[in-house]
Amino acid sequence: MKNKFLVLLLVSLFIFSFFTAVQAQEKVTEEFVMGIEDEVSNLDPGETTISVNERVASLIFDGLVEYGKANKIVPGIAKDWTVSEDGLEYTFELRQGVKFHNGQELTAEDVEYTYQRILDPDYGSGLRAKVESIESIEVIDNYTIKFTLSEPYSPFILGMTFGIVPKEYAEEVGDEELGRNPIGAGPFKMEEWDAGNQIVLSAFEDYWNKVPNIKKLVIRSIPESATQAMELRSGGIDFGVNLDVGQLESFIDNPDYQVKSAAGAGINFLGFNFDMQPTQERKFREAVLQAVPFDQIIPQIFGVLGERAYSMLPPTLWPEDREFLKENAVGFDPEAAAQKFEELKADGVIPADYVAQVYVSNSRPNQVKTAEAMVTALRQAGLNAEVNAMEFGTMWDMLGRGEIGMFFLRFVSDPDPDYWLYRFFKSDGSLNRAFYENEQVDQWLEEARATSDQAEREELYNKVLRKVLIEDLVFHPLAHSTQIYVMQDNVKELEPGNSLLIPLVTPTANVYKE
Amino acid sequence: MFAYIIKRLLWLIPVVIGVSLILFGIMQLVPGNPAAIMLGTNVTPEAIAALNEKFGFNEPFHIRYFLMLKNFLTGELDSIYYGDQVINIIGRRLTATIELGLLSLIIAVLVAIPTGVIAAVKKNSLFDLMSMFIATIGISVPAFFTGIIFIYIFSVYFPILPSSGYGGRIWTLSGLRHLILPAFALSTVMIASTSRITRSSMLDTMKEDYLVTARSKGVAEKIIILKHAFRNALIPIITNIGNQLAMMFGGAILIESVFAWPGVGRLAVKAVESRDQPLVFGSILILSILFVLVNLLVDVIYVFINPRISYK
Repeated sequence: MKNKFLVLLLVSLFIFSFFTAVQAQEKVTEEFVMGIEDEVSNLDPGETTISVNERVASLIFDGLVEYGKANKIVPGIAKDWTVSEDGLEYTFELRQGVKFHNGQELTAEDVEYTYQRILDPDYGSGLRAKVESIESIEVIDNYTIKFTLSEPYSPFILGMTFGIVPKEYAEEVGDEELGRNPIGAGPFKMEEWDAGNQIVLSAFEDYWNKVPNIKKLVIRSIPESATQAMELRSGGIDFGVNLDVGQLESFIDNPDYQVKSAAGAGINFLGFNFDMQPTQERKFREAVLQAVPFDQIIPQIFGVLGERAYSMLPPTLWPEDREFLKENAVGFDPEAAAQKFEELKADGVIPADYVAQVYVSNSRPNQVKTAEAMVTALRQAGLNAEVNAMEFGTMWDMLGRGEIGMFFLRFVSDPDPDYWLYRFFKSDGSLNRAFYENEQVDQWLEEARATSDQAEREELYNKVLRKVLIEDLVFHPLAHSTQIYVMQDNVKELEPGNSLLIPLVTPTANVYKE
Repeated sequence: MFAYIIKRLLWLIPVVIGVSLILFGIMQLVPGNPAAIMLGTNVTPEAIAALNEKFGFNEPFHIRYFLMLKNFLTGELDSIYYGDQVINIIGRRLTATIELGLLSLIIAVLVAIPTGVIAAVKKNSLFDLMSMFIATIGISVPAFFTGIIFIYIFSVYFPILPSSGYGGRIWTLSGLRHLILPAFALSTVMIASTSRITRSSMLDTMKEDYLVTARSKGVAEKIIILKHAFRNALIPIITNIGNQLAMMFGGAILIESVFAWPGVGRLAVKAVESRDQPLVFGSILILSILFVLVNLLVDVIYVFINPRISYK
């Protein structure tokens, strides 16, 4: 009897301890498999100008600051920072005891090295433009670093999200090896890279912020949307990100899967060339926009993957002026369009044998469909037009040389209006493919860059947008691309947000499987 | 024979020079600058200039050509997009491609040749009509579509095989399991064309006089078909298989995409898309060398199956 009691006690103790142990570990996820749409080519954070590379590198490397909820800048490796009155000096105070994956401590020297490397013209980093306002970098002590700018540059803080690399390791192995065997201070460390197939990362248990719930992360490159859908159905992946409209529908009402969407950062737009006839005529541009029922076409073609856009800036980004831009956008008016085309032909602006070419990248099916619908509408309004869907590299080259009159493009960038507007609409902007020149716009863009007064910046950007989109019709925004995550129903805390990251371990989330 | 092989291998030298010159010439004509594509929306004139300098795009045509050929031959060619040596990048992919190619070849040969022979022997029978009907479908249905159907049946509906990805080397269980579906999908086209060629080639040889002679001598029908007819019908069959295999090395792009297979086909497409000139150069050149080698192998096999052919 006594024995029986003892056994009972032991068994219940055992069961009790077992359950508490299970409870403590319930968030620990042994393996999490995700599918991405392209192959990762290089993980050197100084060269990650290609979207998939950037997203994967963001899991391995951490920056001084990070993107928090609603893309607000929050402390990362730097626990605090101060900006001088004149906006020229940024001083960052680093956390102590932050470790790289090789066990070395991260210090201000590593931060200095990271930025000097990107600033070095010989290294040829695409990120340089974002931080080229840096005049000097000064290491004050192991945990304090000061950046001095040559002129005030309000979006500067966004450049502080770049992943910090360990100086000693990077110097020892060189750029090539760093890109292939990256060592950072981020939540995950590199385990195995089977090129073209998959990358295996593991949780970094000494991560300064919080230890990831996911212990083994497998990132598979699955370019074909249909295959990604099948992988989700067969349980081969827990999470997929680039499904097209046709595939998505079958998941939306299925209780075994979660489909989450968020306004994405991408903008699809139609652009005109200001250096070419007849697209340089405002009347022609207006007629084109009046001829095409974009408000009907866009929702039909983009479906859940896009939201009709009236601004170049994504809905998640300030300033908020969408109502004005929407109300004042050129609306559908086929008769007016037809009449304008007639007049332009009579005036000789549109030559008799003119065929309007609409250029679009053949790797963007939704844009191609929009271009096709647009061409049909233009023909109905009396303008002979055709779609020229071509491989992106070729089109990009022609755009740079100013050989294209009307084009569709998609653009994604970081959350500051400067990144979006300066490059497109400044006379010497690096992406000014419209060859648009306006002194007033140039001045507004320069002023907005130099001031750190938020209200003033908002006003300046509103002026720019109203001028280029409503008055001058340089670009016509079509759709903000929506970011859609499809995941198994047991995946928790995974929310789409910033499309430049994979939000597995963020200030507000730590993804796990139930 | 040995001298012949050496001679054929020496032919590789003009092939490499010819292919590399044409390839390099075309790459110069194709619009698009790798630096501009790589930088994407981060493009600035300074960054493009820096990358052009870094990768030597500012040198004159002939210097760049010789530099690239030299680097290719010494294995020092560096990819722009991947930031790694071309030889390493291709080496990693080639294993996956060869495994896929060889397994689908084996499947195709095992299925197609018996089917073609039986169809020819039993000409106009139900088997003949059915098998040739299926073969016509096999040729006309694109392999990627077959691939998607296979995935649906064998990974989603009956979840017995993984739907995509590379699972490791062919001799591991995981590697083999991942390989089965893409290999079958890829083999469908080859099965279709090989079985049709086998059938028509067999029909041709079966009309030959020596078969009538053999029959009149009372040789068993089985021996007539397998030894006399089939062996002589093999030449066009082998030629076809050789061509298909050579094409498989570079042409399995769609299958590689559907099954997320890390092969050289997808790599070559990516290289062209990103205007990664060294990688285009290296990968296409290696594929052409493989093409020549497979054709050489086919020619050598001819000697073994048909004693009338000899290379002296």
